Amino acid sequence: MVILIIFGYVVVGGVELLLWKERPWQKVLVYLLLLSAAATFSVLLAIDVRLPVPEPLGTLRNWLQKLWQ
Amino acid sequence: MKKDLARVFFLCAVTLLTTGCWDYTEIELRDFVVGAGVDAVEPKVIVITEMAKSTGTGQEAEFRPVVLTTEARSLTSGAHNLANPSGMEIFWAHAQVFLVSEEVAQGGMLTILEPIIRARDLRSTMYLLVAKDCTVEEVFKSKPPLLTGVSQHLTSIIRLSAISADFVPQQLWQFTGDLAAPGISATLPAVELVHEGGNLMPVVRGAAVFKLDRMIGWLSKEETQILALLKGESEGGFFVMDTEIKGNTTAITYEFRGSQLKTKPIVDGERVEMKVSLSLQLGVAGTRGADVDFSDPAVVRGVEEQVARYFTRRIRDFLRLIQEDYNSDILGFGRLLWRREPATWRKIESDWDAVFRGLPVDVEVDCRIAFTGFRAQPIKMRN
Amino acid sequence: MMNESVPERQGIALVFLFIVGDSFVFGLARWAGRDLWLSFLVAIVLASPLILVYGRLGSLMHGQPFSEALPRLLGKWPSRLVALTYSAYAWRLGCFVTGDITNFVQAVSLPDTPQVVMAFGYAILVLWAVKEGIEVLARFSSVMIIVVLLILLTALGLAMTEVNLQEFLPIMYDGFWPVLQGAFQILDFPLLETVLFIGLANALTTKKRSAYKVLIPGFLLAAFFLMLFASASVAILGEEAYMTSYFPVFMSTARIDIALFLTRLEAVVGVTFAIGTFLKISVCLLVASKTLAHTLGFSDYRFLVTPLVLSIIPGSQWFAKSIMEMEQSATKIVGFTDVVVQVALPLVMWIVAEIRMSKERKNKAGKPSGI
Repeated sequence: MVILIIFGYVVVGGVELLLWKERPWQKVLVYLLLLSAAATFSVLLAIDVRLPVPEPLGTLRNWLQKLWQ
Repeated sequence: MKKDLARVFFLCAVTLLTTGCWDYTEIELRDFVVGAGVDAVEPKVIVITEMAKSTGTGQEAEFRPVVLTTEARSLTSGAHNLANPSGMEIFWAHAQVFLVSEEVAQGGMLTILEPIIRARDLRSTMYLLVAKDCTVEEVFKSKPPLLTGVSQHLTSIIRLSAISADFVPQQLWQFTGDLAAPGISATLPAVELVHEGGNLMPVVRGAAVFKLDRMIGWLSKEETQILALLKGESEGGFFVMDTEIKGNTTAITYEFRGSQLKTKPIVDGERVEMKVSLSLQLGVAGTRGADVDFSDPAVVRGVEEQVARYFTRRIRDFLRLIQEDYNSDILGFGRLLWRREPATWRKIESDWDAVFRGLPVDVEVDCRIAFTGFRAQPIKMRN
Repeated sequence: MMNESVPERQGIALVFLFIVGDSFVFGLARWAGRDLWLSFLVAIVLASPLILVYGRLGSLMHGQPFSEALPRLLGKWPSRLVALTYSAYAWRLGCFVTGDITNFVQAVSLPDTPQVVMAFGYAILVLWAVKEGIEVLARFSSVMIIVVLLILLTALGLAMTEVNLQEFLPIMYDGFWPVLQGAFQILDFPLLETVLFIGLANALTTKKRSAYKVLIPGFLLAAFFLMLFASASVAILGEEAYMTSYFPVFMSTARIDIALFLTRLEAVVGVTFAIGTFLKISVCLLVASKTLAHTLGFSDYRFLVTPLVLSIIPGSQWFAKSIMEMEQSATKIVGFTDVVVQVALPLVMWIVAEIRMSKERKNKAGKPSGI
């Protein structure tokens, strides 16, 4: 499954990069970084569905809750 | 060009992925449940199903009912166990009737209903019925005279409720709604088996009275007529009443042509009272040849008064039965009070059973003969 | 790309479908039970000022693209931070909506089909739509709104025989608190999710027309439509069934039975849900891509679409891991993240932008160049 997912991302990334008319290095870099992040995310979730959801605003909420009480 | 290729690729991928192949089944491998029921809950749930077995193809396709019984620890597992004896995937979405035995109804309907309302493929428009003086299995194995299959027979009887006032049909959602709402108790129509030409065949008449989800008693066919009238769900049907006209007593057959019901709570300080006004439109279907002239207004007025008195008496008897004997608010007086007089309801809600037992109900029946068939007078025989 | 512009009617259709799209099948304002129509009225009153703020922010952008307007309004780095927040929020919302549709389809008709497969099918379509941009999405919604309205209003009309107005009585038996809870729930989802349109405001605003003209009618139409639908569902199902089932509208259309002939219309409602969710996911990802592009300092967003869209496939399984969690996320009363993004941040942005703009106007007061 993991291999299949990675393969899928590689194919999609490869095909799409081929389709680009021009390939400025900044865009390619960002694209590849994001795509590999997405692939990592998919793989992590494929391995363990119970992957915890981070709460970037969680600390802010906890702090506000404290103030409230 | 490259872009077009990509689009074609996308479209192919979408068509391949959105078909839901995982849920694909051949129709030949499916068996359709048309009706089901439960005969016992303890120690094991006995599930009876009637399925439509199709034979032949195309124009000659015919459906033959097959009745299967299984035992299991729960309704759902029993229903799924059926796949084994039938050798088919069971398709439940066409189930139209669901029967429970008296014993199951007395034990509490919730154990049976909970998995049904949770189930994705059972419809909330399924009709619920209680088997009276027989088991569900006997009902499903009986022989309806005209239609193939008991479920189909029962469904078509129920759909005829417009011309018969002998029962009040209840769909699943109506029954569960009555269980959930405050100040109303549920009823379900009853199925009985009658002998007909050496065969047993099922008929729907009367009603089972519930308190919460447990059945506590029966209503006869006549009492159910009153129930239908007072629930505002009576649309048709006939009744025969001994009517006195000019000193002679004749049995006249009347037909319900329509009825308007108004139920109103009257709150006066601490005192709560219900006012039921029923107005009936009747037709005369036959006088058994007696010489009754309906073109005479005095005759009509006399008949109307007698019918009104007759129904007032029957309604009073019915109210006594449900208030004192059953103490079950199947007419939803409490719910009406909750909706119209919430402040009063808040005070008496916790004590409703006791209040309902002694609740004064003012009954007012108004009757009008609206129709006497094609003629006002019977046949005039030459002396 | 620079001159994206959406005609008024199409814009209204877009906003309408965005709000109604995936929300109408849920038990909206179910906390209020039979008083939910009151919840809707309260929610509309509470939401309107915020929608005006969103519209005002859109107008302050003068039809410039996000990447030009936002730095002008907020300064360079704050604008990037805001853009990142909105990008994350939009992506998260897209994941939730994808989870909604996959859970719905699985619960209703295809129990054995893995949700990932459906999410994948959606992702491919969304990928295409987002790459085409807002103009195509708006045209799509101007066509689809007819289909959706036709289906839903027909279903509603046919269901009228099942409606029992007595179900609304007594009014506010349990006090005002449940009504308020219900109102906050519909503010959170779906009414104030309109906040995403700040990111698309350049297309909705032209020199002659401000974003209000699109946002306000779209919002009001959608809100009243949802109120009508939810109220009809309560009147058909009764309060108890409405409050306890996952998809009450679906159940109430299942009750339609016209002379034994016209039944099982719920499948058609499923179709409108599918259309609506598609549009909503597309808008979410469009906003996510655009704002992320701004955060990273690019003016073109299209190259970011593929990774973002592909990641909603796992994302849809990540945020809501079961139908219970999905239902929770849809009908929770107040979500902290949502309050921050839907209420606090737009208000702060608005105030900052107004102050900066008035300063700018003062500076330019003596000069002939005008905006």
